[in-house]
Amino acid sequence: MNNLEFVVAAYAVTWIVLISYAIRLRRGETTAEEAYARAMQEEPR
Amino acid sequence: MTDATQQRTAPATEVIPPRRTVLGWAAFAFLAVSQLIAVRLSPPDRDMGHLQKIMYVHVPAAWSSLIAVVVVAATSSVLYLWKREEKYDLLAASAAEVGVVLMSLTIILGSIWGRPTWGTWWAWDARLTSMAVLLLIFIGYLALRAATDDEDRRARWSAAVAILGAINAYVVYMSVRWWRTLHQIQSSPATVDPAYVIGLRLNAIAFLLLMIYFVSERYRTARLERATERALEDQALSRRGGGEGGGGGK
Repeated sequence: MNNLEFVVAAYAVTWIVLISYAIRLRRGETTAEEAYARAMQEEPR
Repeated sequence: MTDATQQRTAPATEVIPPRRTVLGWAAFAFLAVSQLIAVRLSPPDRDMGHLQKIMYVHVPAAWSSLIAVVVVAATSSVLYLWKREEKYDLLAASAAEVGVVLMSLTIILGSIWGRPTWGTWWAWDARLTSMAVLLLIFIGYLALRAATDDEDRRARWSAAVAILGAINAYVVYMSVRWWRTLHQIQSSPATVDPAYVIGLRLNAIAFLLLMIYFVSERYRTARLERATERALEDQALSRRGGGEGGGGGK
């Protein structure tokens, strides 16, 4: 009983989910950093 | 210094945690090495053959998801209700989001493991059902936060949901002992064959590092977003105050 395709699928899903989430986090962080920098540069009127 | 200047500079004092780039790379590298070692070193299981190797991703994902929602989210929620400090609310929300990702991964991996071993993708078994309920509780937690504008109310209500979720997490953990289930008892170094212990431990550490990295990155983003909101609110108030003769303030 090998069912290697299920093992490969499990590891592939793991890496896809983890890397996708890491990329999503990094993009969100960069967007938040840029918004924060813009807010800090705003001049008072 | 004018009132407007004081208001505008206040958010600059916000403590924004540093990026954890090195931790992220280290966690992913450690995961890759751990998986390689586990897969190479562990012999095929007598009953499951190579399917046993799914344990090295399914079990650590489950552990780290429970740690995220119980140790971080629920504990931070209790601390928020006790001390009413915003940082605990933001930490709880960050951990809850990471917990949802890891719980979803756990359920998907369990399903992939279940198909060839049990002959079904899903069964209404006590462990699977209680885990699905826990996932729904924390999806509800995130939905509640998204739907509530008032900061204090959002923090209090979501803290209550996180604590409820932590109670359910205990049910998830004990479900395989309390009920006769299709799911095997908890996999741990004490219950698995010694040949699988090293791989399980290494991968558990790798997932724990990843969970810490994800929570710290999400928390940093949450702090940045909150600081930006405060800065913009203060600017709007100072402009309004300036227009009305300098009387603007919270």
